[in-house]
Amino acid sequence: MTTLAHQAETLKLARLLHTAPEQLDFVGRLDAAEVRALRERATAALFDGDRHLFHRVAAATKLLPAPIAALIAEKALGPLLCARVAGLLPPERAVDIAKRLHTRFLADVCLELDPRHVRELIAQMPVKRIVEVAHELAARREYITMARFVDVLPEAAMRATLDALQDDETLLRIGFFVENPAQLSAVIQMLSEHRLSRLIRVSVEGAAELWGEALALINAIDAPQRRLMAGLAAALDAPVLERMIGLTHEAELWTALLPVVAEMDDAARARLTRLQSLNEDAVLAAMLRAVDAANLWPQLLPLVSRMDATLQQRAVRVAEQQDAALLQRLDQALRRLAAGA
Amino acid sequence: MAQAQDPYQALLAELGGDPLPGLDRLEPAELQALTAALRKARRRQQDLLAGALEGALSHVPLLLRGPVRKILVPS
Repeated sequence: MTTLAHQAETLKLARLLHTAPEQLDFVGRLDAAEVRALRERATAALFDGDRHLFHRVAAATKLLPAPIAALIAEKALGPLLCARVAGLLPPERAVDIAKRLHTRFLADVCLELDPRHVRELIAQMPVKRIVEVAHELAARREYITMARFVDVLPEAAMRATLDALQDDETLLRIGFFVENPAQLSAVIQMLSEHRLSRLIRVSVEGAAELWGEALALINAIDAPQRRLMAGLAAALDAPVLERMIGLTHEAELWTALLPVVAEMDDAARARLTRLQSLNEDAVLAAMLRAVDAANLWPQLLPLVSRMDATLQQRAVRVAEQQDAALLQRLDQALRRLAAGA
Repeated sequence: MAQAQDPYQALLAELGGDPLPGLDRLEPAELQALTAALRKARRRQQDLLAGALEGALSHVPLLLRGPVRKILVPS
């Protein structure tokens, strides 16, 4: 899990407990999956504690005409209780009420909902209404909440939302928080190559942390989409690629980048080897050390095979300045490469 | 005199269910902070629920409020 995934889980737990995230700094010692398990258990405990009352409110709601129920929901129940009760109503009934709520209120309810408990309700919600709420949540930068809905949105609603949210950084930041890699792959498949290319460019040209998270995202998705994203990344302008290598070097992301490079075709890899930043000794040294530490020689070899003789010799010279064991492993890797050629 | 409950067990009692992975790595004070936050969230939810029920009942005609309240919140 990435740093952002951990941050997302901590924020979700803080929101559930209505406490400041700083008060939960100590959960930094748990990994993201452990924080998620804690949050899910806490959610269940809070729900179970008052389950009988939620059921009664749901039962009473069924007796009221939808316009009155919507009025009471918004004026009296508030977003937290509506979120708790939503999953207990028949989906058609819940949709009938939800359609009558103001968009801002529906967005407030979404913050408190566990989308997995209202999957059927969401499936029956008019697409137009979903897009309106998505706009509201995007305007509030509620990326974590939006990401939770990615798992449960029907395809038509997902496509409409992707079309409506034209801000690439918003889409990227939502993508970082999606928990299910299979669903993320499905979403990537819905986007045009032009849009995907723009997303990669934004991740490189935007805030420094975006590139690392974009790499984590690319490595998490299915192989065909990963290959496509790798190819689109390689096709970006040289200045963007220079910055990509620079960010990778500064944030020590070689072990995340090399598997992506391994998915590129030979022409793309050759293009990378001609980048000025990849011809710097400090960059080569950091890359070799990272590859050696993670035993990523097989992932490095496709890149080495596209280096010209001068750069290969330079890489060897840089390796010689590291320790002897590293040099020996590079030598073995190069011999395997030569044997396979 | 009753013995104070172990912070780890107190949190598990609040959460219900089996032990959760990772919690045993937290310090006693941190477990207590989590337990306190969970209890506070539960109280907040109950307060909200009580307020919401009163608010909802205010939309019910006066004569029907008593019976409806009994249905929703049997004492």
